[in-house]
Amino acid sequence: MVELTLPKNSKISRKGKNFPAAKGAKNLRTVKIYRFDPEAPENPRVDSYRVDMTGVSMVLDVLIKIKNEIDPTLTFRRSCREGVCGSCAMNINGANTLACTKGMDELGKGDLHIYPLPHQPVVKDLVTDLSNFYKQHAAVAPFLQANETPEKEHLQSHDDREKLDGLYECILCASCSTSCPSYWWNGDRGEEGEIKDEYLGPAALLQAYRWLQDSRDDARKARLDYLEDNFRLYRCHTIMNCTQVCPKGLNPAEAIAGIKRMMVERG
Amino acid sequence: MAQDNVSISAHKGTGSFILQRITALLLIPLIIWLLYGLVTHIGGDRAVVYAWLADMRTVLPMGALLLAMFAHMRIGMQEIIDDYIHTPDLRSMLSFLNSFFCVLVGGIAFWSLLSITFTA
Ligand code: SF4
Ligand code: FES
Repeated sequence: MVELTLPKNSKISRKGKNFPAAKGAKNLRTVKIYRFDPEAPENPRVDSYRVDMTGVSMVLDVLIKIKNEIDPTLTFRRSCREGVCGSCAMNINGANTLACTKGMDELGKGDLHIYPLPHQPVVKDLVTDLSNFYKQHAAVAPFLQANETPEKEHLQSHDDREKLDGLYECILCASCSTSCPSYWWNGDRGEEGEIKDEYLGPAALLQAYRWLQDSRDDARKARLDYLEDNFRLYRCHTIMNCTQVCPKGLNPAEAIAGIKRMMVERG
Repeated sequence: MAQDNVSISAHKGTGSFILQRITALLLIPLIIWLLYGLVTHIGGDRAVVYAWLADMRTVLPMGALLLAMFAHMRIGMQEIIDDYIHTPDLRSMLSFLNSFFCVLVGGIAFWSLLSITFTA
């Protein structure tokens, strides 16, 4: 049955710690962050930090400041700090996004609430295990499959190239898939390594569509055959959370609709 | 490589995806027609309603309504089962019960309609 309660040991305890402001700090704001250490025998908790926001512009800056100046045990993932690598995706004030491109000025006045991406196994604090997400990406064969090998390069007209705009820019941050209720219910069904009765999720389907739209690709039929499945594709119910949250401004919902249209057209 | 998994793809879903949308479209005018028919017979006695149901101009849209409605209902319920029931055996059983219920009740409704038509 559908799980309406959290798995054992994942309920948030009331034992969160409070980190008061440094002496003389101005411009204070409270930042509440989900903490979980798999090696400690405790349930997750929410720690509360009073942070001086002077000179801070992005949410990632806040996290780095906390780690550097207040609490070095805080764990999160980041690399490029400019919205290119996708590592810093997390749930900020209720919506998945990239910490490095989310400006503090977009977040109003109140407390900040920072959680890991929803419905993924937590490795530590804000770091989630995305193996299953990557497995789904691999499953749609996200690479060119052409029958012939040209002498130099696979050529493409400008118009055909334009069809890939809005599709190829995905950085695989997983914000979209992990914001989708259908993905929460059915995104992790198959046994390890296989995808059976499992929804692939918006990110993988966006990439599937990216290759379906590529004029140089010859595997269209095999790709559609793979996707034509009650679970892999048709668990999408056009909820549109994916499009709402994508920090790169992409539209996975439209891509999924595009795949469904291709299915209908081929009958 | 991943695409070798093609064999385990169920190759289904598109048929019900299309049927769900066609029946939804059909049901809009048919439900309006049904409501209109019911409202205009408020206060009518059994014989009047019976005669209305037996009329060929009623039988055709009513038959279409029943077919579309039960088909739509079966697919809708199936979606809910697929979304929320994760144990494969339980899911198969509920899917079977769902189809069985829709065919049975839809069949009874359809048969009742025809028997009114041909006995009136
Ligand atoms: S589509 Fe957007 S939200 Fe989804 S993984 Fe790609 S960049 Fe992230
Ligand atoms: S750190 Fe690379 S996307 Fe945020």
